[in-house]
Amino acid sequence: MVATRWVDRAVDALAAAAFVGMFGCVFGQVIFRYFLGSPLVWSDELARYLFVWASFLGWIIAARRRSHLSIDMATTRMGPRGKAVIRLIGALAALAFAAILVFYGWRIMQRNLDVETTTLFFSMGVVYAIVPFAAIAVGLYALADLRAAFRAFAPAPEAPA
Amino acid sequence: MIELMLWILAAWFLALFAGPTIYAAMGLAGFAFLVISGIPGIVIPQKIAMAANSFPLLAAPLFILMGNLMNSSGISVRIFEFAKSIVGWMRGGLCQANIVGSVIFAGMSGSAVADAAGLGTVEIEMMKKEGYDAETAGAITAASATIGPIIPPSLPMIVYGVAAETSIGALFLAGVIPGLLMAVALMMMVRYLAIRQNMPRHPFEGMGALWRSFKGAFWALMAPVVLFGGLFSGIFTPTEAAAVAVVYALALGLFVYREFRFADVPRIIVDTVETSGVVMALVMTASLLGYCISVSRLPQEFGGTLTHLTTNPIVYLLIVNVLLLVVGCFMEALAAMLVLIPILVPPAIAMGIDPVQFGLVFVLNLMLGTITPPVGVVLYVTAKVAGVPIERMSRAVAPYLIPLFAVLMLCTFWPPLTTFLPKLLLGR
Repeated sequence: MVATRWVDRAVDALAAAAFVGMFGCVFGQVIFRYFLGSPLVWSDELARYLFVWASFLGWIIAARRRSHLSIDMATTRMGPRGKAVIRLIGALAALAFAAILVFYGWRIMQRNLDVETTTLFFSMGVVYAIVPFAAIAVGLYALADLRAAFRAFAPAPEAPA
Repeated sequence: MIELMLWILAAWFLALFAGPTIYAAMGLAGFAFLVISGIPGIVIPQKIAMAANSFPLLAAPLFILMGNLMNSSGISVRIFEFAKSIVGWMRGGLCQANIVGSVIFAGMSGSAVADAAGLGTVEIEMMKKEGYDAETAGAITAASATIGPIIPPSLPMIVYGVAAETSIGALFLAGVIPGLLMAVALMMMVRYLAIRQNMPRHPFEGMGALWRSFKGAFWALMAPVVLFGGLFSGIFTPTEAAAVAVVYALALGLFVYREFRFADVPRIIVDTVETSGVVMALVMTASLLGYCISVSRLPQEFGGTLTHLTTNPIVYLLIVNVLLLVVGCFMEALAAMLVLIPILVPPAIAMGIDPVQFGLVFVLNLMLGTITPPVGVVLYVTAKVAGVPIERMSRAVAPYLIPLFAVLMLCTFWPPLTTFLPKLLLGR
């Protein structure tokens, strides 16, 4: 549990850093263009890539806090067993999609390792690296969810050892 | 391939009711289409990641941050106090103040859910204290929250503008008049209901109180001025205007109202990244599904079938209205919008409907969908805040659908309502 808390914190910090960086690029762009009279060349592109990163990191945080949108009109009236089934389906769907993204995300990252960005020093592979990374994290949350759903199936908990 | 796409869309729609997250279901639907039609799966991460590689769309997280900062800065209380001293003396005065407050808040926030959860919490609490029942308070909060994304800035308009390749600045301007009309129409309905239900009324508090509450809310009222001044004088793009507005909101909260401290900022930022993660998960997977929809040639087929049916823009708009109102009842607004844009927008352009008018009618429809059961995010949020079961809340909100629907019809039949301001200020 200590390890997961450490990972959660790292994700939060990285997410905040990406967001602040993105905001800094946009605001800096305004300052440099209108007030200092010398437009930045790279701010637009860097802001966009940081947005890609922030979006995937936000995806992880939302998965951890279970705030992704779903349509739960059918589930609100169900009993604990029905809810466990719904939770199982949800976890399986999230897991399947995460697995797809890990597989193809890894490949697209490798393919883009020597594709250069337009104005920046790193390759497009760095931008795409967030895809398999975020998918692994989301997949792990989905696995934990799956375990919780299975546990809810067991009608009465056995006597604690 | 069209048949395959239709089957997949139907399966996706039905599968959603088993409760998986919408984004995962959309991603899996896209994956299924690609596998069956033999397209390499590597386009999945490409479409998904590059959906976020967009400078205009970057305005969305910045406006979310601005809304969060505004909600944490104690502005909502000041805005509601100001609104109360303007219209609080009418019968059902707090309902009227609720609407006026939403209009003011709409000028600095772009999401109906944020309005309902932020300003709404303050409003419902104060209304209960003054003797309104919880449903009345919740219903008017939900109904007036739909004004938020019509009056700029607006999250749905940003997403619409990016997905349908329409000017976001023009869409923002197009929402001003319909947004104000929605407020007037809702206020008329409140007046009618207030007399019938004998809602509470309070005496006018006097010019002194009005002036004091105006001073209290002054810097909050200036936020839209800062935002639109830069935006519509052509100095900033919408994304840059959003960044400037964030700095303004930050300064307001930290130095003027002092409701939060610098140490609170990281938490607000992480919350913002979370909310934009929820939005972007939908936008990204919908962009994959949208790619699959265009590969399947479903839009062309739909357009072809449609031209046999009608070439009259008004008839087409009415068909779209009916379709979106029905879909809006059963589908989350953003997801519905992203999936339907590639199908519904091209025929509209071909028939000569102004893309800005179409965008506004589109968004307005889906905002009505957020307060109609069984699937309505805003309805659920306000029901939770007010502590009322969803069934009673749905019934209480029903009368307010009439004035909102009337505004939708006005926007459908009379294009200048939406196209006048963009033409005047942007010269399009």
